[in-house]
Amino acid sequence: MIIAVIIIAALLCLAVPYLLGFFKFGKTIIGSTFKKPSTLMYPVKPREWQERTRGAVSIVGEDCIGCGICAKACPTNAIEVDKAGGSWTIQRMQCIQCSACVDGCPKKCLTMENLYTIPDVVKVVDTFEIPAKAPKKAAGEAAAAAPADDGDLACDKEVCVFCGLCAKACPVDAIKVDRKEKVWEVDTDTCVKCGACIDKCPKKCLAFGGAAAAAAPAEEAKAAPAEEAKEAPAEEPAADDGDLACDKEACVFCGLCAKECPVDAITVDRKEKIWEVDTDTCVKCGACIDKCPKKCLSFGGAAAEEAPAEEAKEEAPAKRTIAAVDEDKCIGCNACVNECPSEAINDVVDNKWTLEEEKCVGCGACVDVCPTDAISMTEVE
Amino acid sequence: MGKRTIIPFGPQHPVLPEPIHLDLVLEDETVVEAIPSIGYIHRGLEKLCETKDFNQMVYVIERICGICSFGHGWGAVASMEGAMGVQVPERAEYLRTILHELGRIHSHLLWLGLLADGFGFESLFNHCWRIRETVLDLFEKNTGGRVIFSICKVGGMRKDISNENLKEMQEVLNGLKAEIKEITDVFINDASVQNRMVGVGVLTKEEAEELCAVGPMARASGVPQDIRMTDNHGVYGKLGFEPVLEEAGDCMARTVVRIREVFQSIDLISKAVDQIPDGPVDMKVPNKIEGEYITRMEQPRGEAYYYAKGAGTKFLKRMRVRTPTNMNIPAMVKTLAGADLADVPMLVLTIDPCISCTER
Amino acid sequence: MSERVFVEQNFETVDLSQLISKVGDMKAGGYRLGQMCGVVLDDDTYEIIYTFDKDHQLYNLRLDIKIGEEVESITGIYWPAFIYENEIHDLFGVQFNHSELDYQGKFFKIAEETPWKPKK
Repeated sequence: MIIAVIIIAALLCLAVPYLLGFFKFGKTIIGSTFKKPSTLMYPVKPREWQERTRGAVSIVGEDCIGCGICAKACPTNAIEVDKAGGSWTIQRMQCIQCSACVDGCPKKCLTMENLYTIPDVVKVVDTFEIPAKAPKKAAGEAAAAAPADDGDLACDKEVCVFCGLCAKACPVDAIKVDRKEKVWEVDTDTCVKCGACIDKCPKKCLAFGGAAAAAAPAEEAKAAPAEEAKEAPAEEPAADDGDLACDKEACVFCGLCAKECPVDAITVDRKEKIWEVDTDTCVKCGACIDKCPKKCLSFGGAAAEEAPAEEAKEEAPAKRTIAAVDEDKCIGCNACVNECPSEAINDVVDNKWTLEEEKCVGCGACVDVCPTDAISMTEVE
Repeated sequence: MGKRTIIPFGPQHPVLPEPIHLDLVLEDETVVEAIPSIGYIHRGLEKLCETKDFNQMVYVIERICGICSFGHGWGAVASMEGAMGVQVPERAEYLRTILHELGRIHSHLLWLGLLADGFGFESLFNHCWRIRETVLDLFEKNTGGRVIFSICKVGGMRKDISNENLKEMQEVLNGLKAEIKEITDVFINDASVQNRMVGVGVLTKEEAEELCAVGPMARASGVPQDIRMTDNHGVYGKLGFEPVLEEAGDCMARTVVRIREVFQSIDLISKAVDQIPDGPVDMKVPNKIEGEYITRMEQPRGEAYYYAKGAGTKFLKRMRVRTPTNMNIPAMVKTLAGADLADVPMLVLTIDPCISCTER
Repeated sequence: MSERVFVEQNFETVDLSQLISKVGDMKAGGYRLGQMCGVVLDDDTYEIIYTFDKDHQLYNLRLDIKIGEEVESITGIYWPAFIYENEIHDLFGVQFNHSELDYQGKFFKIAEETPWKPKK
């Protein structure tokens, strides 16, 4: 009898920690009995999608140019583009929603929608219509561009400086440029005719459809810059043979030319007031001349220097030109701060734009980048 | 000496989310030897990486694992960036660290749920996954995907995450702490859970070193081994990282290590959000890879190796991923010897096996 | 901006004959096996990289072999290497001798034998 009691007591003693242990979860259980369920009553109450949710790819058919970059970018080969037949096909079940196609699309006609593809028992294939013959290098000059559409990409080698910017811009690496050998080649099988190279070419020597069409963009190229910088096209024909030269009287060593150079041929040291060009590397594309805020660069050294020199005279040498801001227009975006080559502009705090005048070289780079035209150049003594 | 029996365990078994097969040689109820056998889901992803250009491969590598997918994407791009010799912007490194730690919280909560399911505590399992859902929502809001994020790319991140969203993430996670604590206290203090795990499957420090165990498995045995301690992994150096260590080396210690890591990850994210600098998250990288580079990541399951060898074009010659489970299977097999048959599920679960990672 | 701290890439090329003694040295030096990785160099050469780790420092041994050459197994020194050796055997067709745990080509259940071996 006594033994039995002892055994029962011992068992109870052993059980107490167990019972206490089990109650560790009791509070949570009792609490959740009275809580609302944490699940949704789907599909009565649909789920809210986030803005970034990647669900399914959709296309605006009429904007598509059938370049096929999306099909090439797709890691799972889910997209097929038939340019001649005018169709864009996606294997919905093969798509992994990585949105590589959306990022790659040069025309931005692809978007990622929030909603997922609806589950199905068969593999869903969606086909969209796209223009069978897509307008290539869009805009304005329809007459010139229309016949060119069918042609392969061609380069006017008389004008071309073999800078290689087209090859860099090409999304499918179809263009090969050898600067030294003066070779420009396009792999027409690979080329998707997206027109990215044409937009990028500083000499406007590229066009679809060979020599005939090349003339049209060339004209256009001359017309456009002529409005802003009249001296630039004028001096090109004469100066093309000369090396790039800098009028160091006018130069403020802002370094914008070095930033722009596609082949990194220019070195500028602002502190030491050094401007150097590696003439072997320089491809004479003229990008630096277009960018130079002081117009002190030219091809052909002394002879060509006249033109910029004139302009330099306009700004009285005794006076300094520095940037000034219209505080009503300034939105504090800091674009100028990032652009300033001499770090003269301080970060805009509380809409207060401040300039360290002694650092400002008067290059005008900030004027160019300002989205609200709040900055202008003023002269000080 | 009893009669020897061989019991096949897996590839389909209630505790296994993924197929691994073990031949358990038993004497009575005790396991004498266990022979692992994998290979049911070899997909050849490493080979696939050689067929497409390296930018596209990031999305494929992420799919090695559905749970540590961010870590895999990061590891792969880190090895490629290393081969190119580029340093991504600091903000991108911070964002990667934050998302990687968020991935760790999600992985450990998932695993805790599976563990609870493994010893038959269904309501605990449901609570773990309920909390994990909040973390997944954070992922969806900030990256666009719930499990596969596709936000890492060679040269940085594809999208920036705004400072407001990061602050919100910090608040949500700090708010989760109390809920997680309520659930994880059950794991640590509940008698029925303790019965299943305390003293089961002990891996001593010496054994862990000998068998090259990695991750929480090694740290539960007191081996201070965590790639986050090195200064070439994200921005952990700036966050003042200290590895979580336990000494016991049993199933309970492995659970406790992971529970403590959940809280540690929340703290790391909090610190990173406070420190994150403004700036770009993306940079231009060369369009071809030359040379080779080997790097490591601390995944939720342990250290993973990434080896990239470029072919001088935009294709890779070899992309090698060595995942943590690879290294923990030998340790698991050794701890199985001598264990009770009834404890085998617990032992297999507490290494947090990820078989599709292992086979790729 | 902080400078990237690159992982030190210590690669040392070893001969087939020195492999076992080299790996033995690593073990004696307190190194831990990190991984083994097979790489196809060209149509008739493989490279096997043995990665070791000590105090978070990596050390790699690089072994170049011709296709068909047999390699001595290191499972006697590092037992966990069996996973990698069987993997390389199944995928590349490299024969490892004196392995402590040899699956005889049944480690991976794959439809095609040695799928990553260069096709002639």
